[in-house]
Amino acid sequence: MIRIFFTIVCLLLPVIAGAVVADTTTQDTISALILSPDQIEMGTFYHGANVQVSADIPECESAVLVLKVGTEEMTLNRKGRVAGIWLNVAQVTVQDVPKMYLLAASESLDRICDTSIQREMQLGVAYLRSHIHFVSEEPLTGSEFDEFMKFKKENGAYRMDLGVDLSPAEPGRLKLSARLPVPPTMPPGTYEVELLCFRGGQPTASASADVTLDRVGLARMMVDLAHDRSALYGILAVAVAMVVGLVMGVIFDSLPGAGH
Amino acid sequence: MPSLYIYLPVANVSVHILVLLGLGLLVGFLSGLFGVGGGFLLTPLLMMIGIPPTVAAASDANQIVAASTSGTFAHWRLGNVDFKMGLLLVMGGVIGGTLGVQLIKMLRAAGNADFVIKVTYVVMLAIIGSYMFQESLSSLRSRPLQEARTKSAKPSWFARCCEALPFSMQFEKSGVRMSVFMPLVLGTLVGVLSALMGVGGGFIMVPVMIYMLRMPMHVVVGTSLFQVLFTCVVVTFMQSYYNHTVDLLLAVFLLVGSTTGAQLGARVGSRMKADQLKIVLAGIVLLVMVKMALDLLLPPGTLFSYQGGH
Repeated sequence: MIRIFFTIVCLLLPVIAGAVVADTTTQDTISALILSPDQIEMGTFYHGANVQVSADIPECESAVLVLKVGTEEMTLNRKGRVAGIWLNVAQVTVQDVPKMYLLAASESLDRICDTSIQREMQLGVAYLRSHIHFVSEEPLTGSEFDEFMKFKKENGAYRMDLGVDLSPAEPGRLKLSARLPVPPTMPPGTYEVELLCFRGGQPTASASADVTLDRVGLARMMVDLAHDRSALYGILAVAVAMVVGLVMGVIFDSLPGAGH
Repeated sequence: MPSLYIYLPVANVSVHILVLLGLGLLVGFLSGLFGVGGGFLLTPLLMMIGIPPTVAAASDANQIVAASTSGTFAHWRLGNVDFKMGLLLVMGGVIGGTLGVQLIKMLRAAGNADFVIKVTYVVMLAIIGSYMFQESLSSLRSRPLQEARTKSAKPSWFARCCEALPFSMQFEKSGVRMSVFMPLVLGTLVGVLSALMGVGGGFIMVPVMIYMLRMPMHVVVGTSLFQVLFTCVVVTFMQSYYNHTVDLLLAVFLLVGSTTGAQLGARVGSRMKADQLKIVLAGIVLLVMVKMALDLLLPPGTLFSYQGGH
């Protein structure tokens, strides 16, 4: 009897072990990260878009969604007070600036993980502070980063909001849903939306999906013309303006009460 | 229901259609009323609604082409455009603009360009605005007395200097006779100031035509618009060709508003007395001056700004 029981256990052991391994893999993996829509058309009446994000994620304490748009170098004027008057006193070159930075989280980043993890995982203000550099021929004042953040937020280029909802799904899993507002100023291109799950201040799982913005119709035609046939575009711009000006002139001239 | 927002592909921003039409209407009205291009007003307004500065300035020039075509046409039909004077002012403006750009380079190298530009702007606006306001007000109050005084007064030193200049020419439309150097030199000076301040210069040119070239107010407006049209055609083409910063869609919406506004402005202007026109323009110039002075004195929202703005 003992021998039969031992044989059965031995036969079942690999199956049980396999099941445990498979279950562990599923538990730590983010499945079905879906962006809706994942193709955004920038047409004549485009005014930004809301991307709905949903995912099936392993049980965790918090989650963060990030969308970054390339880096660039910007040269800006910095104002200062001279004899009571606010003037542009220096040109500051800002290096390694993400063109756009959108972040949504289930709670504040400082409660999710410490700043060293934030920097490492390229999250939030801590990351931007360590990443962005200021260069100027004039002495730097130390307030450049805070002022720059104000400038970018005013332009709508940087947004860091709460707005990720986590709700229980099947045992050991959570359902994530969020709304990622894409501002109308986001340039066309394909961008990666990264999802990170955190437990105990450490990232435990991650996944990514792409969203593509593309100009279509008249908007695309105009930008192509402006860049590829700039002389023709210039002549067209002047001609359209003059014709509209003249047509309006003639229309108004023919109206009753036109003075002569 | 379709969105009332329009996506401007070159500027890469989305703006409410009524905002663009309203801005165009306002600036076009001022343009038709006073003969100013309106760039000094519209470019900062466009920047305030989120248009990048380079696109705002270039597209503004494009819409001014329409507004000034419409306005010039309206004033030409009314017989208010002195083409001879306008062409001389344009030539002076081109020379002055070129000199002004070099002057800015020198000031920047000396490190105090910004200070000089801003203070010049405020002082110029204050002088022009106050003088026009005071003169128009006193003229409105005591017109017959002033006319009698003007007729009996001896010519000023400035008038005597002008008369002494060679190459005298008759400007029939304006009803004045003066040396060709007068519009050329004054056009050059306005061109220098325009380049320094980064504006079309209509609001400086108009007082110059009234007080220094002694042109009648209604011819001033038409002729100024003609000069503005020339300048902005060149600027639009250059900006399109070299910088790709003209947003035609933005310009079209602005110009639909501005051409309508320009026609309304021309009509209202033709029903107003010259002194009434001057006093309203003086009020606007003074308002812009006060706004600029406050910008200089009050702490800004953020210490950073794009290059190209004032």
